Amino acid sequence: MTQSKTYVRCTINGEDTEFLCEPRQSLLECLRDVLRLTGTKEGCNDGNCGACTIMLDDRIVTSCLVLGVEVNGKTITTIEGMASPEGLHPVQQAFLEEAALQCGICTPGFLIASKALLDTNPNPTEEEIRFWLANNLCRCTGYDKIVRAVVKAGEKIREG
Amino acid sequence: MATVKKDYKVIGSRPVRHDGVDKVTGKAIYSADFSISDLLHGKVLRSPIAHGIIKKIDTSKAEKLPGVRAIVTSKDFIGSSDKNIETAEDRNEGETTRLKYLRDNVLASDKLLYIGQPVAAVAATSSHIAEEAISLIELEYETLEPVLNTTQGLSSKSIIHQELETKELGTKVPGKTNLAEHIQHKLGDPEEAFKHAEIIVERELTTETVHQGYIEPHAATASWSKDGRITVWCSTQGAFPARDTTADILGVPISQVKVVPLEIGGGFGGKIPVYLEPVAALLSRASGHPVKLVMSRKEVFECTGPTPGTLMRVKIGADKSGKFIAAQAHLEFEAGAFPGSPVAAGSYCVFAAYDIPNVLIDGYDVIVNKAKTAAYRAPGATMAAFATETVIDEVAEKLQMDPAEIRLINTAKKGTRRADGPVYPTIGCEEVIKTIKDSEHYNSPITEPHVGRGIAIGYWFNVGLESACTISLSKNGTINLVEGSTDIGGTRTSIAMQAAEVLGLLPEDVIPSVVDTDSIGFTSVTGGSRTTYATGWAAYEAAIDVKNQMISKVAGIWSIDADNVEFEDGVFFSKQDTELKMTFKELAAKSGAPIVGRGSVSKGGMGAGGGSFAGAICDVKIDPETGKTTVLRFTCVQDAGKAIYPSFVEGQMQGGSVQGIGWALNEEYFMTDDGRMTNSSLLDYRMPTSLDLPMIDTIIVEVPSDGHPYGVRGVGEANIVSPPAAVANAIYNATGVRQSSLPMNPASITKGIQDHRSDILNSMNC
Amino acid sequence: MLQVFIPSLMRKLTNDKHIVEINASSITELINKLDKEYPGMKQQLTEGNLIKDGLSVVINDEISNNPLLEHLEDGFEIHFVPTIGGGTF
Ligand code: FES
Ligand code: FES
Repeated sequence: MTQSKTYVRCTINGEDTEFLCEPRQSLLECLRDVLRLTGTKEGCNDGNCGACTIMLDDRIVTSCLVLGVEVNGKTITTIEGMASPEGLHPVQQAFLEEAALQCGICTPGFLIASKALLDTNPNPTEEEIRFWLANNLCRCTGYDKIVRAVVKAGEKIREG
Repeated sequence: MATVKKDYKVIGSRPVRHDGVDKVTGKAIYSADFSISDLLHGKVLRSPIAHGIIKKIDTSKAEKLPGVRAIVTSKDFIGSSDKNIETAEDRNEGETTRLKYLRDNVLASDKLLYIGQPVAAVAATSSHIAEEAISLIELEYETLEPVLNTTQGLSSKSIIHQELETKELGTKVPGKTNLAEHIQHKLGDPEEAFKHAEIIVERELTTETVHQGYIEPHAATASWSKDGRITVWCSTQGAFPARDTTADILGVPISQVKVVPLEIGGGFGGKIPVYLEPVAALLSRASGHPVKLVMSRKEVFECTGPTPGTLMRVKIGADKSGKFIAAQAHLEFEAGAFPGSPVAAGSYCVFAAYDIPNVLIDGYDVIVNKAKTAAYRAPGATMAAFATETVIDEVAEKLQMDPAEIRLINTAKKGTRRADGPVYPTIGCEEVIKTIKDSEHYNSPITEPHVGRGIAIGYWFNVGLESACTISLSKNGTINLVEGSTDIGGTRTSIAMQAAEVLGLLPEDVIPSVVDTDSIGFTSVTGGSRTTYATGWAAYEAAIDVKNQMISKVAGIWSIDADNVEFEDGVFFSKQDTELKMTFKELAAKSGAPIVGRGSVSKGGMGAGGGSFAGAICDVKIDPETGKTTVLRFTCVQDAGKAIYPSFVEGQMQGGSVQGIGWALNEEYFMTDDGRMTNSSLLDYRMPTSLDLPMIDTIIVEVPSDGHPYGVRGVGEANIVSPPAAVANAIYNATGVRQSSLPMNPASITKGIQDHRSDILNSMNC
Repeated sequence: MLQVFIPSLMRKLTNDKHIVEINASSITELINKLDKEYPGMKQQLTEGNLIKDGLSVVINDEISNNPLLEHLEDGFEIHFVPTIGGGTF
């Protein structure tokens, strides 16, 4: 049979999580196929579309470029962990209100990246938003409504 | 047709879309997210060469790999095509050939026709094992000379399909060829008319292959049950067409196949054809398990959907006043490995925005050794408009006319006879041009050096076709709306809003569901800009049906004639007795036979409601040293007939514009001489990022279409048509250099500028 | 009378006539009459009593999904145009 599996323990969306993975499996594959967290999407599997964007500790990463075995002891946040029991995060709400998604396949990645931006800079300029999100491809929207949604989410967050 | 009042309550508003929360929380299930118990994973072996003959496929080594459960090749298709009992009677020679092409595109039988063509497929306990197994399959072949563009295709001795003959209006012209179809439209006497032109501009232009670029790769899961029923879960633009094609390829009746459409991560035309579905089904039959196939990005680029490279010659003759008196187009489009480029559509659209009395259009569908092209948003029209609209810009310049003015005096209108024959019903071309001409953007000054502005107009004819909808009324006064149109960008809501308007409900009182092919009447593709138009129309009719049933019900309760009952603002009332009133919700709560409304429409195949016109105004800045183009400002103007759901009308306009900008400036397949794409990743195939763009301004024009209850015009496509030409005209305005090929990348722009400079220097020396 | 527009690639059969006027209430009747006047038209337009693959019928301004079922009225325009391929196979 195939290679033996490796034991990994980490925190995902606030939950202590354990899983077994093959050394060749990417974190994206572990999330989607092993843990069935399919909110994180695959668009290219080589780091160029941003659909698989997640938070790894305090950094945004494309999870297709991280190996599953690398995340032992780390903290991961995926789209499934963004809303709270009280409701959607302001950036999710703003994406809905501003119609910032069409097909929605890029949306989890954009939401993770946008939240990461607003966490450090709740009042970004258009240029800063465009620069920050340049690693995330969206083929449907032309980005206009995404930029507007991030601005609006920033306003909401600043209002508290 | 009942005319609905114009002060709409729901139509034109901006509710949150019904499927929005699932899509911002990661809960929505797209094709690759799907799983089912006992699932195997598959991979596909693909042709390593562009043109050749299959000698042998040896799967014996792969079969022995632990974890491999099934391997299939084209030999596994059920016998001959006439096993398809439902269509056997009308299968003729053409159908047999069509079926062979369909099958060869999902699993090659005798020849290898493009790099990436599927040859065999493996199902295994994991996708990694399937991939290892693929590398163990031995494929022997003889290499033939590849044909890689239309010029080679039309002149080459290398014939791709031995049985192919050129079709002209369905009739075959004898002789071996790579020319699959010749199309011609002729109006008036162009040859004579050109003789009287004050000015004639003629140009040859080319465009490269580009991809739709949806972010979700194709994926499909199939389960072939022991009772012969086949269930397919996939992401498709049309569950019914996918079902029919899958059944056709597999040689089973359509009633044996159920397609369950999952959420779809973009399509733009590229998710109309089926690629994986029949292969997953064959693997499932062979292994006895459900099998899932997911493409890699490289497979998406190499084996699916591109829109073709083209070679075009366009000639326009005008009189002194700028009136176009004659036009001619010669359009050569690459079909890919099988017939069916969008050249027919390109031929319909090439001069569609203008009233020209004398026109000759010739279109050529040329087979080449590349992946079979698929529809891409207004297929064929964008390339054609790039040619026409840059030539018109040159005519305007030569006559020293304003680019918007020359378009306005030549605009197509209701009653204009098109080159292909028919006259237009009500259309909004003139209004779109006027809106551009009067816009603040068009009239704003350009002050900086190396900055230029261009405009262009584009047309897409839109289709109608078949749609079905049912609506069930719930006791609490909400409705469940069942439809068959897969939702790529907010159509659950734009359709629900049309039903809500009829019944005096709020959008959130409608619960829309997109269901599988066993659960609703035939519904054609989400494509051709038809969904909000035709499925919306079906929803409108279903809602009218619900309303009429409720009127009968309340008339029964009141013991009055149904003709005496009116419904307005959510209240049923008697026309005679003002005491008799009941709200929609009150009536819904009354017991009785469940109320189920039904809507079912079949609308014209092409030109539904006259189609949609769109235009673009584009400002660019050129760096004369590097040739880099920066889009400074962009406005898209489009006729939506009536914008049902304006946020998503704007979204379509912005998305189409940006795809057009990418096509204009960066996107292309780099091909080697042996037919291999060398940039099959999202790093090297350069689609626009957020950093490459300005905000995309939108102006919605509303010229209601004839016929549709709300005057809707589909807005999905026309917006991509004009941007490449508008960008080209802006680059000319900024640099003085005409662009004749797409993409207009830095290298071609700097070369153009250098050539232009030396031309000027030479002319000064003379 | 129906106005039947003859596609340029078929005008060799009609001595280059662009428009032919015919009285008919269905496409089948129209094609039969057309064939009588211009022999060969039927073979160009139909195959096994159906409209040929690759050919569409436009009635007035829209392509008809079921041309053989349509009832034609006086003053209608009929066009035969190439089917739009490119997309669905
Ligand atoms: S899937 Fe990871 S960046 Fe595209
Ligand atoms: S919404 Fe479809 S890719 Fe962004």
